[in-house]
This record gives sequence, structure tokens and C-alpha cells, in this order.
Amino acid sequence: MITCENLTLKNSIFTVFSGLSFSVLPSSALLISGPNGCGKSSLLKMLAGLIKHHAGKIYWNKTDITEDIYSFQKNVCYIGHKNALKAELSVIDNLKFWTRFKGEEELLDAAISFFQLNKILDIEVGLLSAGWQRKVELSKLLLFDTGLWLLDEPEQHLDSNSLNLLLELITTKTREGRGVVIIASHNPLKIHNSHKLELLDFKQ
Amino acid sequence: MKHLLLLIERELKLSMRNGYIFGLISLFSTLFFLLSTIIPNPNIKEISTIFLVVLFISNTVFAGNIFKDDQQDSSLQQLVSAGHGNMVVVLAKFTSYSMISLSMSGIGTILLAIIYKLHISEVIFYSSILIATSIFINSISILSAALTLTLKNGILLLLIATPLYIGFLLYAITLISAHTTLYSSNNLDSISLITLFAFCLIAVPLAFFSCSYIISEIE
Repeated sequence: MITCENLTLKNSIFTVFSGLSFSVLPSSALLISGPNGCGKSSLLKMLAGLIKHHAGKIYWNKTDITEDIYSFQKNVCYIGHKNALKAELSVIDNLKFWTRFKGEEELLDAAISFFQLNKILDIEVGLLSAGWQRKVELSKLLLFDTGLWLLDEPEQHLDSNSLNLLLELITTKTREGRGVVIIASHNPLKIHNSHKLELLDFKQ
Repeated sequence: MKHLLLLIERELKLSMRNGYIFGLISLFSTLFFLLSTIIPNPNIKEISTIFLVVLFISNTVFAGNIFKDDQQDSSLQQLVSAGHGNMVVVLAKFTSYSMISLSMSGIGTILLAIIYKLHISEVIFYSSILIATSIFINSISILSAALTLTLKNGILLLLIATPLYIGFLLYAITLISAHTTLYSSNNLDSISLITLFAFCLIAVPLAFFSCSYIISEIE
């Protein structure tokens, strides 16, 4: 379970959001929506421990994440709106690196087959279409198998079949009670046992 | 340790694939060739000075890319949020780029030793200067590269790194000049080299901790 209490985020000019509190129970998903610049991506980065919150607390399973940020981050799979893949390396080289760096070797085959990456394994990532690159990036969800998934617009560039695969993956995650999923997106995604959080634009 | 080695392997592989090593060696060789032809029959002091200057210029040109590529495709965010700490990422970057520079310095020393038929004590002296300069230059390079990420421009690279680079470079060149004079002694050489490595001992941890802090502050 992840709990946020009175979170505040400021940038150099204005307060992006303040007093934000919510909890996401195990086996459930949270869909964050809101206008551009309202802080959706920043909130995800904050939850991943990538940026510091100016006020408030974040608890993961009732423990303040700042007590041992590295242990907490081992439970997190953060997928940003860009793909953290190296264009110069092949798909399999990228996946093998991330498997050895954070994931589990025995999950590699499952990740490849779930997103049907078998045919493109030896192709350089830079030569793939945006949709295929996104699928390679999303396969890290299976590789890492962490308790908290933080996804920033995961559906971008995906065709309808791939989007269904992603939704199936998230639904399985929450239905089987294997963790918490938090998604920032402009699109209304249909996910089992999901709740919505709409961020407002403080600047207006 | 496992994660550090993995990152170093990745850095070296990417440096080969994206042309970093090729670019660095090409620039280094071209500059070295051009500067060497300006001076007819250069002696050991002049050729070593040219070597140090060229090492400095090539590292300055490529320093900005050390973190930029990973930041642009958000790999840096995933590496940092993997739970192994910022220091592993910084240490891997520093080690891999130092390995490239040190290889070049090593090759340079071997060439100097062959061309000028240097005695073993001379080889140790020149290689120590080249190694210390490489380590110092890489420390400052990696710090500058991290600083440029936060301010989103390369001006700090010029404002902060260049005076430090040049100061160290001038000191290293002075040591070589002093070494080649008739009044030089083994004791003086030893003290000079110890001073040079003392600068490195300060620069390396300073660069590590500063980089680690800067990266943790990047949004």
C-alpha cells in the first residue's frame, strides 16, 4: 500500500500542487488525470523517489520512503513517457542489460513472449517503430516484477491489440493482488479495480 | 559490485557503438599530428606537452555527452531509481571514461618510450604525469557534465572546468620542464609527482560526491 500525506511540489516559479493526500490499496490501480502542467509526471517521479517533495510524507507499506530510499526503489518500476532504451543496441541487448541490472533472469522469456518481441530481438531499437519501442519498454514491467508500477502515459504509440495486452497485464497484476499500479494518462483506461485522481491546474 | 561492472560494460559498449571512442581517438590523433608538425624535430618535453594539451582538448569536447545521452532518453532516471544508488552510476561513468583516457595515455607513453628510447625511470615519470592528468581531467569532466545537466547549458563547463583544467595542465607541463632541466633531481621529481597525485586524491572524491548530489537534484 502506498500512502501520500499533504504532498507539496513547487518549481522555481509556482506551486504545482499542495496538500495532496491519497492512499492506494494493494491490488488496486490509480489513474491520475488532469490538464497539461498540473504535475502528473512530477507526482510519479516523486513517488519513484526521483524528485524530492517540498512538504508531506510518502509511505510504502507504512514506512516512510525517505528512511531507506534505495530499498524502497527496489520495489518500484518507473516507466516514464520516454523509453529508457539505447537506440544503438539491439532489443535483446537492452533487455539483457535491464534484466541483469534490476530484473530477474528467469522472467526474460516471459517478458519477450508476452509482448511478442521474438521477431525483433536482434533489431536495433533505433530502427523500430515508436509502437514497438514502447512495447520493448513496457516489457520491463514483467522483467522487474516489482510491487509498485508507476506508469507515465504507458499507452502512447500503442495500437489497439498492444493496448489490450497492456491493460490485461495491469488487470492481472491488480486482480492477483501482486501490487499497486499508478498511471498518469489523458486517456480513460479501463482497468480492473481502479480509482481516479484528477489534479487541478493551480496556475489558473 | 556486480551492478557497477555491468554499468561499466554498458558504457564501454555504448561508447563503441555511438562513436564516442572513435571520435575521441580521431580528434586526438588529428590534433596530435597537426601540433606535432608545427614544431620541427620536437624533443621529449615538447611532445609530452603537446600530448597533455591534446588530451585536455579532446576530453573537453566530449565531456558534455557523459550524462546527456542517458538523460535525453530517460535512462538516467531508470538507472537512478533502480535502487542501487547514484554513486554506482557516477562511478561507472567515471571508470569507463577514465579507462578510455588511460588507454590513450598508456599508448602515448609506450610510443614516447620507443621513439625517444627512454630509460625505465623516465617511462615511470612520464606515465605517472599522464595518468594523473587523465584522472584529474576525467574528474573535472564528469563534474562539469553533471553541472551542465542541471543548468541546461554548457557555459559552466567553460566557467568552472576550464580554469581548473588549465591550472592543472600548466602545473603538469611545468613538472615536465623542470624534469628536463639539468638541475632536476629524483627527490624533486618524487615530490612533484606526489603533489600531482594529491590533487587527484582531492579531485576524485569531490567529483564523485558532487556528481551524486547533482544527479539526485535533477528532475
